[in-house]
Amino acid sequence: MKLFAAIYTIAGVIVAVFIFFPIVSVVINAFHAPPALLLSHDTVAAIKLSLITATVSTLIIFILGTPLAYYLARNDSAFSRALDLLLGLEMVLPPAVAGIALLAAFGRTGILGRYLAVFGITLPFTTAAVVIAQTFVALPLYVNPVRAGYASINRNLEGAAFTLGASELYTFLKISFPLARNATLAGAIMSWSRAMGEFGATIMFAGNFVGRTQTMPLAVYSALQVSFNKAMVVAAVLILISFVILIAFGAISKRNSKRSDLNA
Amino acid sequence: MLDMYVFKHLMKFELKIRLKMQNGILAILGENGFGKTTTLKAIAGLIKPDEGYINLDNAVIFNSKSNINLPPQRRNIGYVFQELALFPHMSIYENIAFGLKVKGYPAVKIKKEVNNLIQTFELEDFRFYLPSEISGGQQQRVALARALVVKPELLLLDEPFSAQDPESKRKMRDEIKIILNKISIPTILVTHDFQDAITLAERVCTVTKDKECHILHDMTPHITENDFLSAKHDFQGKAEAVFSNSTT
Repeated sequence: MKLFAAIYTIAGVIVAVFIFFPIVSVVINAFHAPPALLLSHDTVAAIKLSLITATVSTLIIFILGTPLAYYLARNDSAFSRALDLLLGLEMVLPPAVAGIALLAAFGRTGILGRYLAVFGITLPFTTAAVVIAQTFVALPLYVNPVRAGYASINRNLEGAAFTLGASELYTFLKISFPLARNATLAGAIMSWSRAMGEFGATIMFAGNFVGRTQTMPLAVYSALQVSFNKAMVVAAVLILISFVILIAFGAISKRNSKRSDLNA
Repeated sequence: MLDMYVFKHLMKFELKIRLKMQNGILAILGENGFGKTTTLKAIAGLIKPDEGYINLDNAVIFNSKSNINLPPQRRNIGYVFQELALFPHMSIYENIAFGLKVKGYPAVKIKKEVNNLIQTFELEDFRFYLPSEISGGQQQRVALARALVVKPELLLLDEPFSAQDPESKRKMRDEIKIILNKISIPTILVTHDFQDAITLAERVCTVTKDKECHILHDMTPHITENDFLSAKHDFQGKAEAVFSNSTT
């Protein structure tokens, strides 16, 4: 028993050090960097672009993913199983492969891209491509928790609404969606943070152009080629954003447990 | 007023129900797992029987032959679920008002009707509470009020007291009886409790197991048309001895 206690204590310490020191190193380095670096044109552009694209991606994911999550929670058909498989695949696909796949589909000579080119629409290496790459990789991170949220709702609540005359849409809006609110919020935060951190698919499909497709992770990568300090500053901003996400997440789970206490 | 025959193939057994009822309160008495909830859900339109028909007040609400299957929204049947299924994020007032809001009634009318029910069901002090903040007996009354606010043509009660301890069960049974007598809406109550059935219902029909299937399906109850036999009330007898002369 004592031996096991020693093992898990040591493992805990090793993991804590392993996570803590790299993060603290970035913050310390960033503090030593000249403040002007933070305000440099391309850093500000990257921060702005990341915040905008991740938010747009999350909105698209919310709009497409919410009905999808509800559908998957309520149906067991060949189509739903196929969708489930695709989402699972998307989840485990290496981001660089996702980027190449998007290029193969939406590139100028891609399977779908060549038809878009007919209408004068070119997606690769545009800001739209950043949003598409982020949406592609972050979608399952929204759908999975939200689907679980809908699956956990007692179906008799919807049945009760139906017998009282409520349509399926009205029932969804007034009963199911509000009850899955916390799962929806958790899914949105998870997909937003995944979109913020997106690197591989973005650089493959959207490239690395300042102000157009260079998001923060790409800016860290580019800065490292020229200035270590600059890379640290951008990385520190990303850490700060991650920290805010973590606090938001904690607040939501706290509210969750409070609510379930109330409903018990 | 209600005339139905439904057949549905369920996972463990086949459900076959033939039922005719006029006004009043009818109890269907049977052991757990014979398909009581399935029967009520079929009447309410929440599940679709494989075949059969359901006529309510001379209107066809389900008929497999002519492919009629009215959605639950258009059946006007009140349903009180076994676990009540109150909307947990809405206040008592909002729960009861739900059916009227759906119908798009003006706010003044909703307020008046809901307040009337809140008074009848003695829920005045709890109108702004969430369902989780009131007692089981009060929740029971809210569920009943919510189902009644839309003035259903038929009321379905699924094991209304299953979650209660014997003492509060007796009290609530008396309360519900008074309310049901007052509203005089035709009601079907399904229960496995003999006392529930004979206290609340004017007529009781029972479901017995088909012997052959009993053995074949390892205790799985099986309903056949023959289970609905005609006989007089027999309150001294066992549950199996109680039959209704209003059912066929």
